[in-house]
Amino acid sequence: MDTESDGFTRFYETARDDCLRAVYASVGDPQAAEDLVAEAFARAWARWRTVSRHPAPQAWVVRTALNARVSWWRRRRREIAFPEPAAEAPGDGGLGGAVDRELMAALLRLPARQRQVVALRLFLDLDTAATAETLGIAPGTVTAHLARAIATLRAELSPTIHEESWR
Amino acid sequence: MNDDNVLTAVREGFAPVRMQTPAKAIMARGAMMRRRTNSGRLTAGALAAALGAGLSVSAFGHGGTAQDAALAAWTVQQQSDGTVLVTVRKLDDMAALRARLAPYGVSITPEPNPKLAMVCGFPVLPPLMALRPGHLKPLRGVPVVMPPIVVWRAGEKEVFDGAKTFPLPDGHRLRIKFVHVIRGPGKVTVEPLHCALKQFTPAKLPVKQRPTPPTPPS
Repeated sequence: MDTESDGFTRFYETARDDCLRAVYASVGDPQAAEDLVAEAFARAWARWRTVSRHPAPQAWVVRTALNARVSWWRRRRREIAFPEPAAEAPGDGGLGGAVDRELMAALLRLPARQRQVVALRLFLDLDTAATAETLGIAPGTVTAHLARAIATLRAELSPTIHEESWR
Repeated sequence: MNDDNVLTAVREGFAPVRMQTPAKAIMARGAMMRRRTNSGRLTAGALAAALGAGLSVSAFGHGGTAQDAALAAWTVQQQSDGTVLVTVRKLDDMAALRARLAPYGVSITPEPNPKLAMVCGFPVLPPLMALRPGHLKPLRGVPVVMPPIVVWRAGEKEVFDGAKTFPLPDGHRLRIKFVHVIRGPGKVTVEPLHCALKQFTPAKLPVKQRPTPPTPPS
């Protein structure tokens, strides 16, 4: 039991931020993302013997988070206040740091499936096959979604990056 | 700007994002899910066994896993009449129990009672703890006082049971039962279903009769 607990704790400590980033990039709402990821990790702990043998447990968590309902965590937040983070930027939704608004807006303009593909490839470092399996789509579709998403983001973000390079 | 620049910009843009939920909260929630799943598996079997024994199961809480023949440390069940039945068998995972009871406005803070172990004649019982009266703290001014723990012997087993019902501000009632099974040396032979149902037979509890004071002459 202790070994299970230690294994899960290690997994949570190492994977939680990447999973949160992936879900945040997919749903666009920081607090909802935190709730979804918390619920998914709780489910992972509830069936840890199965999840720990999954070839990509982080992908399992993200997939579960994107399908999860978060009512329990919303109710819990009303009952028990989490400790405030030490240095929290204003307007970041309580996730410990702010995401550039233009970057977030550019991501949110992408279709949901493209955002999910970008999130899984980028934050979880999944390859095309694993991304396709996680999302339940064909590998070719993943490639197409990623190419379109990058093309759109390039057009959206180029002026911003160009401006920053001149500063 | 090539593809790598785009992906790097997105990745670096999310670098400050950090998960704030503590691991303990995650694991408490997961443990609650696990208990719920296990109790669901046992419900059908428990119901059949209880009906076979001719016993009422209206107040039967959730059980443990069949694999280790042990009851769950605690269960919380809302009954059809609005009563919230809390059955505490072991002082494990109290943080999860506190979180489970928080929506009902009750905070539970149990502590081990070493005196109880001495009463039973077992000098060392580290995992078997009883609850001191008066350790239930209300969140919203609910007066909660635990009754003294009742002790009776059942063959080679000794069972501690205390139960009381408390009114809650939102119209619910909270009923808390404490069931501690003292396990003697050697392998545990207590049947969880038997114990869980046995506690709901008040006639078996020893009742101390207080002497009636003499009526003063009129």
